[in-house]
Amino acid sequence: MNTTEFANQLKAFIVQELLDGKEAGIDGSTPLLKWGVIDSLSLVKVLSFIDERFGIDVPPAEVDAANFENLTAIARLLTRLSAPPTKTSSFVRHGDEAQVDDAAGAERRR
Amino acid sequence: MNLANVLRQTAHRFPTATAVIGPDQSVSYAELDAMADAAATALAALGVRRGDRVGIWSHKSARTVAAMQAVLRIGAAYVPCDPLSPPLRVRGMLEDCRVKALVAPEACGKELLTGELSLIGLLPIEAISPEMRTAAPPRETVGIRASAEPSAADDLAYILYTSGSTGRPKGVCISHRNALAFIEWAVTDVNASSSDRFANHAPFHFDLSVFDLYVAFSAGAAVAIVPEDTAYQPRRLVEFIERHRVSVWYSVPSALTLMMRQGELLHADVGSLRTVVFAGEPFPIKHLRELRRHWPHVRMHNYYGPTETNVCTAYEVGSIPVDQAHPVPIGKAASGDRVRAVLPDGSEARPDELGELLVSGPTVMLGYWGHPPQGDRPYATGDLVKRDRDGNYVYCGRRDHMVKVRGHRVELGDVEATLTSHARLRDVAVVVDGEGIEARLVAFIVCDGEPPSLLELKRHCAEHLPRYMIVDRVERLRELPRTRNGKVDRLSLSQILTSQQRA
Repeated sequence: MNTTEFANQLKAFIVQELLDGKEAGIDGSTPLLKWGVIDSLSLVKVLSFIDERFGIDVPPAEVDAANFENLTAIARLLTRLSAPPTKTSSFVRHGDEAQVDDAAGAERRR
Repeated sequence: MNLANVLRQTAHRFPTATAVIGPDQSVSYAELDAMADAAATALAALGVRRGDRVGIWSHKSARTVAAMQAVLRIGAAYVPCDPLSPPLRVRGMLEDCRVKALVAPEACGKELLTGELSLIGLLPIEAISPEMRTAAPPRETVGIRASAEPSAADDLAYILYTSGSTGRPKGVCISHRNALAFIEWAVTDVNASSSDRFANHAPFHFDLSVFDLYVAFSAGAAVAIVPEDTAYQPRRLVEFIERHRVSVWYSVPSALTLMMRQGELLHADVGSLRTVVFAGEPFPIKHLRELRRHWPHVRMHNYYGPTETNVCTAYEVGSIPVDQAHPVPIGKAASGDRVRAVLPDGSEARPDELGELLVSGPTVMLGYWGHPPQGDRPYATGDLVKRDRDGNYVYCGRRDHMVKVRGHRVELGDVEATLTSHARLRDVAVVVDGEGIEARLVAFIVCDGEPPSLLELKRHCAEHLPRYMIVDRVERLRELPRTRNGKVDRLSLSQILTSQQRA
């Protein structure tokens, strides 16, 4: 599933379950947390939906204001979480790729 | 009797002990002390003098704590503003109490301090450090900073703004004496010591944070600050308690219930926790009973008191009978205060009669900013109480339209005033549906033509109100039901909601 598809399905869920069914005015950059569309309690419903609909169990460390700021941010998070592991990332934690490259570069420079 | 001395004295006794574990950094008592002194010099250079007010608008951090202490050291008063409040609301508070300076992130501060606020000095929070240098402070600031006892006991220490019924927040003015009376009582009540580890869950504009910071400082213990975006994340909160080996926890019951229901609190490794204190709203008895059952050796306290008095009564939770259906009592007088319940005519209520709780004593506020001083007048809480057979006061509800939503105090009139200002709405009434952790704000609106969507009304609220006051649901009516004296018939509105649920 691509990012756009994640965003569309999330939007439909939010409009139906957290708002009054009226779709107008909500797009990828609508501030969901800032406008109280998602609060700490309805967040649980969103996480349940994500688990049931997409089979993605969002780790607690990823549940933060940046990742849930708007539909685009959530969709990007889900795209990242559902990406199959690459050969390097199975040995290296996300974010450590730079160090592996640097080490290789240092090796070459020596 | 000076709140600034709490930190100073501990910095002398335990300079290397950890003081604050913030999202930004951990600092020792000596480091925090140095940061406070350096920031005080910077504030003095901006013209802050004894008796002035200084706004603090920043996410919680060790620097924010240092800034608050810095203000006290000049003999001025700090005004913590909710970092999640929209700029418009913060402007209102800064204008209301005419602050001399603001401590905030540089970008936010610059954006805010325009127009009538452009003469307010800005101390960027990012600049606060033990080594920060203030560019050539004017000679007269050196003397200001060095004075050892700048504040008298009844001088203003801080102002906490709370929701006001007309839409304008009210500034509760707390003196050094008010704060210290509570802090000294609380240190004894929970038997605080330097080996404790406190958490700070509440925002700094909530008086629960006064306990977290100053009881920790008094005892020489460390306080671990819960970052704002973790405060209602159940699993992360439980991990926070485990990771920091918190020994004393103080929060609204909603946070505890959330951790129990969604954070697996009762299965967590929280052997470090020895004392749990809750305040701010009734704790549903079935959840408290479960907590009590799982943690037989943890001491549990129910603290009660509005912002205007901080904690004025307290009750220690013993065992809870299996058939008890009502919350535990709010207990007996605390912090050196005296409390009594009175009938509408002012006479003393009998124990079995419903009366309004009145508070007198050292923690009663100086007054609301811009209003006549409280003086010797007892503070009327607006809370209705009875007494049980042991002489403990029991909470029985409110006299007016103040409600608790998501752990926060909300005047319904405050939300109504904001919604009414929306161009397309003719009339609005807001009621609360549900209680405790399930409480939601429902707006009944009257409008001509197409009603605005819920999203649109949320956007409108977000511009003027803190997040927890944003309306959750909207129902449209042709007219608002009214009582015989012309007031909105809220009972009728609540009944509409009840009948919807039955349908």
